[in-house]
Amino acid sequence: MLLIPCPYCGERAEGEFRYGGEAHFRRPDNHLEATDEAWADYLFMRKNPKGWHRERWMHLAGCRRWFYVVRHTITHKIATAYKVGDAHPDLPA
Amino acid sequence: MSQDFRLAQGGRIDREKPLRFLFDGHAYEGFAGDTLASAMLANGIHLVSRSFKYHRPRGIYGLGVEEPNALVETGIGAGIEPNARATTVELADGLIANSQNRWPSLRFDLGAVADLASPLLSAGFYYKTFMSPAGGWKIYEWLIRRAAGVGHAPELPDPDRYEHSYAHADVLVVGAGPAGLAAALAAGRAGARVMLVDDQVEPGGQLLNTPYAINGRPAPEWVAEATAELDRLPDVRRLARTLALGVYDHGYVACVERAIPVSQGRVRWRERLWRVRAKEIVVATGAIERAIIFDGNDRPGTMLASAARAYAVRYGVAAGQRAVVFANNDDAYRTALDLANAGVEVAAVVDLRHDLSGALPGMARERGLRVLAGHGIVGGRGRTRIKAVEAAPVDDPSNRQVIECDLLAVSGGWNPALHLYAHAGGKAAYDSGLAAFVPGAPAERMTIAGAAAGRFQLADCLADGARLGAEAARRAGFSAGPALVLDAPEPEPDSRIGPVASPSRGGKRFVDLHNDVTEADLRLAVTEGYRSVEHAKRYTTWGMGPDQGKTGNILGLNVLSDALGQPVPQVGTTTFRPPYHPVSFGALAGRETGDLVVPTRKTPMDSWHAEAGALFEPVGQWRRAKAYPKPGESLHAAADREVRAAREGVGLFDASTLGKIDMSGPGAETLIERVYCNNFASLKPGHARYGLMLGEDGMVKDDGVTARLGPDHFHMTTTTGGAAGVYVWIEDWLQTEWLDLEVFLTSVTEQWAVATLSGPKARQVLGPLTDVDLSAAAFPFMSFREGRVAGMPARIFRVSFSGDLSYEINVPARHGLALWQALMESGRPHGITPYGTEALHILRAEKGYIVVGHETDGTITPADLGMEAMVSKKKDFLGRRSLVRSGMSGPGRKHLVGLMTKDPARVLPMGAQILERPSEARPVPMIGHVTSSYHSPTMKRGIAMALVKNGRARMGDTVYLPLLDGPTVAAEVVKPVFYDPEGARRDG
Amino acid sequence: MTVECAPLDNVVRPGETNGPSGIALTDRRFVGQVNLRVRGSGLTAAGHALGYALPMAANTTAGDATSRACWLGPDEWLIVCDDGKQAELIQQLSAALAIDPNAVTDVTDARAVLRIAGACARPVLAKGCTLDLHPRVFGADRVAQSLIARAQVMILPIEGGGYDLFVARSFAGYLWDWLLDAGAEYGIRVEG
Repeated sequence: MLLIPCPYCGERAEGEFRYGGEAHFRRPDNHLEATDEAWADYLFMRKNPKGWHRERWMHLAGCRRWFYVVRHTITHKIATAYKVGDAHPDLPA
Repeated sequence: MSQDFRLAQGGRIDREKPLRFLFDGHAYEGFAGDTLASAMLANGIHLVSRSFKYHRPRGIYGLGVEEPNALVETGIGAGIEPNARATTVELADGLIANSQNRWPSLRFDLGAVADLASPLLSAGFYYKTFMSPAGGWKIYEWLIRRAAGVGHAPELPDPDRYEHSYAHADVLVVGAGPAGLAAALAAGRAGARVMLVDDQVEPGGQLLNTPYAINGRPAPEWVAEATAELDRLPDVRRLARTLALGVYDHGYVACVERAIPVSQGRVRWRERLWRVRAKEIVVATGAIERAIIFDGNDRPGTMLASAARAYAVRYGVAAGQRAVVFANNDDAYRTALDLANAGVEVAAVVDLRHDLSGALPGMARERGLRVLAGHGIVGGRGRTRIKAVEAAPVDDPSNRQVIECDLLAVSGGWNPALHLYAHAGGKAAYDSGLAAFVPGAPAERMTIAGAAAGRFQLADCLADGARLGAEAARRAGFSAGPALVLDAPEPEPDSRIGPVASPSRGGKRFVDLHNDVTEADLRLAVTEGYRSVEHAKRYTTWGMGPDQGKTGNILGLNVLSDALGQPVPQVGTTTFRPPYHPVSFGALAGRETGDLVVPTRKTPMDSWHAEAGALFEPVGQWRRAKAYPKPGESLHAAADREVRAAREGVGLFDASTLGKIDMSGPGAETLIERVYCNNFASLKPGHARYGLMLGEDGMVKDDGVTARLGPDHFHMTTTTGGAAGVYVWIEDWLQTEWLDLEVFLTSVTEQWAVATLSGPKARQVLGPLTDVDLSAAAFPFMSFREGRVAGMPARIFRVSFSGDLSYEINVPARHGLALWQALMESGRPHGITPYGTEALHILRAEKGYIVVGHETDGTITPADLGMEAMVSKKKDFLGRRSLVRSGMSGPGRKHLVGLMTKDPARVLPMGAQILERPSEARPVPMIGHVTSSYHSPTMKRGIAMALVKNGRARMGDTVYLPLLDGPTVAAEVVKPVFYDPEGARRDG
Repeated sequence: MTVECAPLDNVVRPGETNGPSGIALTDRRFVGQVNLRVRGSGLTAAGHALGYALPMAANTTAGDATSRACWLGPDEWLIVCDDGKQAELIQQLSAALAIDPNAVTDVTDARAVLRIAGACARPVLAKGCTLDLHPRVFGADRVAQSLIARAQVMILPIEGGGYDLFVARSFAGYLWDWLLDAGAEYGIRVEG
């Protein structure tokens, strides 16, 4: 069970959280005019990297905030977590 | 039988406390402090099992979890535990143990015919032999499973309790031997929260049977002192009988604690699974001695040298009266000396090495022991117990001499117990000097001390522990005081190790005793092309038994190395995965059994439903009344009666489970407009509207009625099952995308109890209880009022999910039961009838109202449901862009339709598939499925809702539904509104 | 006046015990609870209405003799008071926050409050809660939302050792049963 560092509550067990998949994919600007391709890309296409991954988590059983985590998908190491609006930290080497 | 093999003195057993036990029906006696294995050995019992595949007689081989042979069944009846290691079972008075995998008896086992046929049973035998005929495997498997294998699972429910506990440690120390005790002391003195777990009853590990001193005092005295100090430290928790099973992510370690056995009655709990979150882990798990490959190396009476030594010194048991020690390393001489000192006759030390210049062989010779340098064991005598060994020079195997003995103590060197390190992602490195794997690059949050790191000298173990314990505490934020200095002189061993195999004369040479895998099997695997270690392992099952090859892995790797002509590190190693040792299902399940498996959520009126004899159904975690059958009444009849009451008179329904979200703030209207696809801006305070929610993909996600309490204040309801998901989803948009919206969500699902009055007489029931004017003009459909009902503060919503006049009355949850009772009382003259979810579904289906999850499945658009008219063309909302994607409209989509069976009595099963023609060539083209189906008491016939391809173009057509267990049923496609299509009845 | 029915009225059996003691379990029935959501300039206004500053550090509490504010999130607090006082509290907060966006919601009936006290309260919770409740980490001014077994809870330490467990009303029966079961090995006493 992962230990996830909620930027508000600190490290908590994975069971308190809900996973939200890839972070920072953009909803197309002027989305009503977006092409089918751009819209489909936004709706369905997500990165699935082997290595460091920025992802969304919500502390459902705690403060109920959505936030971001940089996690390694092989080792499950978590480099950092940050709040919505924070500068995006660099991925570890 | 008395304890003939108990030494006259010594050992840590309590000779004042004899304990009786039964093995295979015979009564024996041991002492408090014995394991089942040591007690059996004290009674001269070596033969404990028949092997897995060949049914060869096998004896006690090890001392603890590494034991490959001594798997026994303990307990009786429901308390049976199969496959218990006799070496880890603590002796208790009245213990009952039985051997396994033998028939009719352990001494005379008919299954042993497999051993005679063993030339046929080489690696891959099953794969090669049982290929045909097709389907024959089912019979073969049944036969093989009966002949092969281990114990039988108990057939009765486990009567014991198993507990779970979470724990937090700054420093978790695994193993309470010299390194672990020193580490725990160093970290504990620094003030860290320390958890010290050890699988033995007594702390100390090897210190309990070492002849050497620590700081000038006998080692066990130091152990007692260290333990007492640890127990005094307030933040140190020391757990005996606790085995660390696995290391998972981020310092998460699973350990299982065994209860102290009791002689009578039941333990309060049998095992406790500790789920430890550790900032730092110090692995001090020691090392496991391994065997040597030689002909006939599985005879009962053959055991690991370290086990023979511990049985003598720690348990006061002579595992034999005349021992031969077979060695390829200096540590074996400690065994020889300890055995001799304990009073066991040591007939010879047979050492594969030629050059024996170390201190320990010298001491053995001085002690007068016969040492055969450059010799190997090449054979033996005795079937169910060793009688003699044959030793011969390594260079001249045919030049045999017979040495009589009843104990063969084998020492092939030591393997650091690196399992936990491997679990944590560590990659071990091969040390050819030790012929063993040692820790490579560090694993996360973990350090490895003493023998587990390949450092076997006592002084090194103590120094490692003291240093790593202090360092771990420091990393966890605690500064250590003066370093712990522990002095422990002992003879310097010669670290050179000899070969792991003795010359062969063609006998059976086991590398994996549990799974009966021989050296020849591994060589055959390589010959047949299984050159990868992982393939050879799976083909032969080497290392795949319940002991996971703890004593045989290195032997097998050496065989593969030789067969492949590659050095061992190149051959590789197999991966250790949790658990380190088999774990019971009970320990994993803990108390998550019975009613505690999942929460049962109950509404404020639940007790009333239960007393009224309601039939409950689970809806998510809620339990909801499905119907209130009268004595002798079926569910179907009860639902019919309840529907009729709600149509013709008045019914009462508990709707408390609906999700409710309070939305407040200047951005509330904008938020509602964005999350519903239909217009809400025009909704006036005091009014309510049905809202349809789409995902970004344009598919229907949830629905419900939302009321406007004030200009910036809304009360949203969601489906019962969708409540949590909708809340999380809206918060997601608010927190990550729409930061400009000033609106706050508060879940009020549990704050309000909701009772729904439904039926033409609803007004007459509610009227006398409330100060709210219920006239249709003053309180029109789709509006809400605040007032009092039966003296309670209430919000009344005039909405309807039945199509008849209906009031949803919300009161603070504490008043829910009183509200219900007041309504029942007020409704009695009108024949008020409580109705459950079954009637609710029939009522709404008669009206063609959808239920998200029945009529939708994540692929259904508003247009599919015939609800496109309500979708706003003017505003933006979630999912809007997707509605114009190709494929989201036009021909080929499924439409919601009604189905009327030609036979009115027929009720279609939900999920039934729909065909265009009564019979079709396969594959049969399906055009849809039934989403809801009921017997409608109002229409007096079966009605169904269905999603059918181009359904709206098929009105009046006949479609066909082949039933699984019956005929193909014909039905007419109709509009999905069966009752009161004009909506004339909702004003009562 | 109607009969009020607390979540556990049907299962609590005061005075019953299933062991030699160690833990006392009490159903507090009703505890006044007001959910407050506010940010920016409203924080000061809310503090004035309450008579003390809202605790801004995550998972901490602040309060006085009449109420205690428990941090739930960066813009969310649960104000706990005696049952019956919540209406006044809501009125004061609403009046003080008239110009600031806010949500002041009575959630008194939404949660049951179970009190677990006694020397073994912490080990009992440790059987189902992943939080570290060691006093070094979880002191008297702390609060935390987490899970106990499969129920979401807010855990508030009480004076003299022990905790008030705030749990959604519909889960109260489950949590009660779970606590009785988990506490059995220590002996658990139900207090009325």
